[in-house]
Amino acid sequence: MMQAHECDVLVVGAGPSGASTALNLLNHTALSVVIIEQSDLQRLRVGESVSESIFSLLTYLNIPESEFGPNCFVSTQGNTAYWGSDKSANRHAIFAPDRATYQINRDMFDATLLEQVVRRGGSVFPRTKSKEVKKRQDGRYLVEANHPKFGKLSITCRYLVDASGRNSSLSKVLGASLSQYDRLTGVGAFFKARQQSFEQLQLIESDEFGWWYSAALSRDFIVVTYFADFERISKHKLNRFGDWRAYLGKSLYMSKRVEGATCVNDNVWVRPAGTHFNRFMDINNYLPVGDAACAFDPISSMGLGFAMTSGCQAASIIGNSLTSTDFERRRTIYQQDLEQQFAQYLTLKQQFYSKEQRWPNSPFWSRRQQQVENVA
Amino acid sequence: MNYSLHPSVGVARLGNSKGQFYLAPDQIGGLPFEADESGNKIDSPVSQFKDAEGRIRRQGQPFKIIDENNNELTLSSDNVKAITWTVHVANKKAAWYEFNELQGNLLFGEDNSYRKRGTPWRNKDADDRRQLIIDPGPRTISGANAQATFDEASAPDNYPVSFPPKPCQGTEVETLGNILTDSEGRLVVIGGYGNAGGNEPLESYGGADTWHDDIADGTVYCTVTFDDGKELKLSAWVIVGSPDFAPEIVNISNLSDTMFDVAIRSQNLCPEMYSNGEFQTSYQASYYRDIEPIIQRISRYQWVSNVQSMSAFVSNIFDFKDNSEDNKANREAYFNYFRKPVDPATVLQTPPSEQTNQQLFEHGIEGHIPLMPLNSGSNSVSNAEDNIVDKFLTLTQTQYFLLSQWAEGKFSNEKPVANTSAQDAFGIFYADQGSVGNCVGLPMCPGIEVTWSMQNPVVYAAPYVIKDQSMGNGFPSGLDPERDECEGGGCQPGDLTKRMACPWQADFFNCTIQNVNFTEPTVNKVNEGNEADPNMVPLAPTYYSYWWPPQSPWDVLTNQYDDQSVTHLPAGQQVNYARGINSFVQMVEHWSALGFIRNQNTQEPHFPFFTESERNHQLFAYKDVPVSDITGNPGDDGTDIPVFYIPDDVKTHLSAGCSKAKSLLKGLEEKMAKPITAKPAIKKVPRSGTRSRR
Repeated sequence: MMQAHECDVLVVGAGPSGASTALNLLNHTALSVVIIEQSDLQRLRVGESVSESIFSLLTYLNIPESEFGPNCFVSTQGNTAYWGSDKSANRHAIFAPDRATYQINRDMFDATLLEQVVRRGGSVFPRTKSKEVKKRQDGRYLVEANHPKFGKLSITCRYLVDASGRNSSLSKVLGASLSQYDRLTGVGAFFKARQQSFEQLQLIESDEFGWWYSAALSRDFIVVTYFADFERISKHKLNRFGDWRAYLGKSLYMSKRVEGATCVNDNVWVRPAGTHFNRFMDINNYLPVGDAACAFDPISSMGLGFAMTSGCQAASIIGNSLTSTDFERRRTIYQQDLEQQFAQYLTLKQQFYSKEQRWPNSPFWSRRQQQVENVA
Repeated sequence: MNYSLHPSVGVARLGNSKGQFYLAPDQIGGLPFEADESGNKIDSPVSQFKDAEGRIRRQGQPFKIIDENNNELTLSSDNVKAITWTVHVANKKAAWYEFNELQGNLLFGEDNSYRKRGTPWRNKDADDRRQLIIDPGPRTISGANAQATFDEASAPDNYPVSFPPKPCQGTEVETLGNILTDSEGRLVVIGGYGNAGGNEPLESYGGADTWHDDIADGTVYCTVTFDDGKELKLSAWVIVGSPDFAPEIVNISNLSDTMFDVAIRSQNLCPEMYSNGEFQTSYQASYYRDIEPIIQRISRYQWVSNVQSMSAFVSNIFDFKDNSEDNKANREAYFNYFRKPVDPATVLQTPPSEQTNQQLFEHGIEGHIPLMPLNSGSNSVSNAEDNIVDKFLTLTQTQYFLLSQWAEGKFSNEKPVANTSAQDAFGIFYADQGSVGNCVGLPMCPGIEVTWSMQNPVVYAAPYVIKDQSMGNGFPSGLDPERDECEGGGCQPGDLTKRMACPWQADFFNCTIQNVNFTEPTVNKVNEGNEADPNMVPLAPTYYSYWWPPQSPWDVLTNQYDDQSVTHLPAGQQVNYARGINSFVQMVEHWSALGFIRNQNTQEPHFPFFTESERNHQLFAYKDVPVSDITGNPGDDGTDIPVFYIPDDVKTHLSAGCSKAKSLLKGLEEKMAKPITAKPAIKKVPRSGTRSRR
C-alpha cells in the first residue's frame, strides 16, 4: 500500500536552501513542512568559503553556532589569487571587498540544519525521488515519489518549494523557463597531507581555459578543483582522474600546493557550476529557492548565502500570505527581486572575469568578459 | 457448592514489553501481582511496571473457578479430570460508528439512535465491513502450562479470520495478545502490545478512519470435566484496556459503581434499596462500604490533578462517620454540594436550565464553589442541537442515593467484620468488583476501557455478568460488524470496546482536560471558523475541568529518586504528566515512556505520598526557553519557560560530519517507517480542544 502524506509546504531538496525555507517556516508559522531529498545525505559536500554574514543568517534562523560543533566554521588565514597576473594578490582585493572569510564544513553544516528542521517539527524524507507532480482539483499539488525501501509514496501539499539545486529537476517537470548562461563545470579531488600539513589558505590560479581553486578543509586535507567550460572538460577528458591529475601537474602554483600530498581516493568528482536563472511565474503555488532559482558562478561566493536568504524569503512569502491573490502579489515581487539581484550579479561576474586579460583570444575568458544584456 | 467463573468481567492491559507481564490486581485500587513466566501468581505486588528496556509490561487477567466460600476448582482438585478454556477476543472499532459523544446511546430514547442522529460509520466507504473487524477467532487450550496466540497464523480452520492490512503509518496489528494456563490449569488472558497504525492523519480524539489498534474484548468459556464424566460449563468476559498509569488511584465512579448502579435499579439486586422503580428511603446505608470509598477517592485525585475546591470534602471537617442527629446539619451541608444525577430516560423532558448535570455551581451559573464532583460530564464537547449535553459529572444514581441516606443519618457506622466469603452482602463476588473497579465508570466520553453501553441493562445477563449473544456456544461463523447489542439480544466479542477511540492513544493524548462552558446548558462549543472550515472552540466562559485523571494523570509530583540530570527538575515539583509528548503522533509512538504514579509510603496508608516513577526521562530533551524568544521583546528574557521534547536521536553529539550525516539518515528513515501525517496545525482544533496545547 502506498504511503500517503499531507502537509502545507513540501520542500524538494534538503540542502541549505531547502532547510532554511523549512526552518523559517517552522520558526514563524504553524504550517506543516515536509522535505524530500533524493540523495542519502551522504553525498560529498564540497566545502566552501563564506563571509561573516553567515552568522547573522544563523542568528535569524535561531540556531546557535554551538549546534554545529567545534570545527564547522574555520576562519581562513589567507587568500592568494593568481588571476590577471602571475603576481599573487589577496583574493579579496579582487573579488570581494569584504571582511574575514570562513571555510565551512558542508557535511556538518547541512546535517545540522536538517537536524534542526526535524527538531522543530519538520519531516525529512531522504532517498525520496519525486516522480510525478500532479495538480489536484482543490488546487493542491500531489507529488508522487519513490523510496528504495518504502516504495511509492504520495505527498499532498498546498505549496511547493523547489530547492532541488542546479539540476532543478522539479522546475523542468513543471515547465519553468530556465535561462542557462554558461556551462561552467568543476572537477575536483581531495588531497591528504603526508608529512607537512597544509597552509590554511585559499589559492586561485587561472589559466587559458579556466581556473583552479583550492581550500584547506583542515590541517590535513585540501580540496582542489578545476573550473572550465563543460565542452573543454569533455574534450580533454578532464573528468577522468588520470587526465585531470596530469593537467594539474602543468599548473604553476596549484601543482606546488599538492606536492608531497596524496589524492584521497584516485577519483574526481564533477559538478555543474554554471549560471542560470529560473522564470517561474507561470507555475502556481511554486517558489524556487537557492540554486534552483538562480545559480551563481562559484567565483562569486554567493551560492550559500543566497541559498539561505532566498529560502527565508520564500518562507516569509508563504507564511505571510493571507489569500492566494496576496500570495501571487508577493511572489511577483520575489521574482522581481531575484531579477534585480541576478542583474547585479551578472555585472559583478563580468567585472571579475574582466580582470583576467592575459589570454585575449581564449573563448573561456572572452565569453565571460562580454557585457550581458539584461536578465529578460 | 455452586461454582462460577471470576472475575465475571476480567481486565487485561496492553504493554509493549516483548515478554514480561504481571497479573491483574484483585482489589479496587490494589497493586497487580508478580507472576512467573507460566502465569503462576507470586504473592507479591508489582514494584516495576516496566522491563529493563523501559517498556511497559502487559497485564494478564487470571480467571478462577470458585464457590461462595472461596473454594477453588483447579486441576489439582480431587475429582477434576480436565479443564478446557475457549477464549474469543476481537476488536470491532473500525467497523463501528464514529464516536460522537452520546449519539447512539439508547438510554436517552430512540430519537438518539445512531440512525436518527445520522452518525457516520467509521470507514464508511469500506466494501466489506466484516473485514474491518480484527477477529482472530476463538482459541481453546486445556491442561497445565498450555498457551495460544491471537494471531492470524494460529487461527482455527474454517473460521473467517480477519486482520487489518499493513498500515502506512504506525505499527501493524498482527495479534490481539495471547492466553495461557498456569501449572494448575487456571486461565490467564494477556492483551496486545499497544500497536496501532493507519493511513489517514489523526485529527480528533476519536481517532481516524483506516486506523486500528490492538485493544479487544470477548468471551471466556470454561468446561470442567469431572472424573465421573460430568461437565460444568461456565463463562465470563474479558476486556483489554490501556495501561493503568496510576493503579492505586481510583475513579470516583468506577466501572464497578456503574455495574452496581445497573444491578440496583434494573436487576433487582436489593429490593430494600430499590424497588417499584424508586429508591427506598428506609434503606440503611453503610458508612464503610458506601460512603468512605467515595471520600477516599476524592482525596487521591489531588495527586494527579489540581482540584483544590474538592479538598474540604476529604478533610474530616466533621466526623464523617458520626450518624447522630447533632451532626446532621454538617452532613446535609456536605451532601448539598453534590450535583444531583439525572435519569437519561427523563432528562430530555426537563428544561435545559433545570438539568442539574449542566450546572457548575449550586445556583446554576452563579455560586461560590463548584459543585461535586468537579469533573467533566459525559458530553462537555458538542451541542444539544444534535447530541445530548452532559457538562459536569454526577455520582451514579445509586452512589448519590446512598450519600443522601448518609446525610439523613440513615446509615450504620459499624466496621464490617472480616469473613472468608467470596461475596459481599449483595451477593456480588469481590473478585468481580476488584477487576472492573479499576476501570473508569464515569464520565463516558468514551472513557478509557469501555463506555456508556455499560450503563445499559440490556447488555447484562445478571448483575456484573455480560450477556453473551451465543449463550455459551461461541461464534463459529464469525462476528457481525453492524449489530447494536444495546438494542438487546446480548453481546459479541468486540462489542464492549468498539465505541472507544481508534486508536486509544488519540483519546488518551487529547482528553485529560476540558474547558467546559458553564453558562449555556445546551451549548458546549461555537464555530469560530466558517461553515466550510469549522473551528469549534469551547464557548466562553469556561471552567477548567478534568476527564479521568486517575487513568490519564495530568498534574503530578516528581520523585526524590530519579537522576535530576535527566529529569531536569527538582524533586517534589508538580509538573505536567505528559510533558515532552507534544502530538498525537508522539503519543502513538511513545506512550510507553509515560511514568506510573505510585504511592511511595505504602506502609502508612493514612499518609500517602504519590510521585511519578519509571518515566523514560532519557527519551526527552529539555530546554529553558526565555519568554523573549517567543515575544521578540528582549526585555522579557528574565523569565524562562521549561520545554520538554523528544529530540531526534541523531543529536547524540557525534562530532564528525560524516558520521553525523550517517546517523541522521538512519534516524530519519526510522521515522519514515512510521510516519504519521498529523493534520496541519492551522486546521481544525481537535473537537475536544482539551489541553491548552494545540
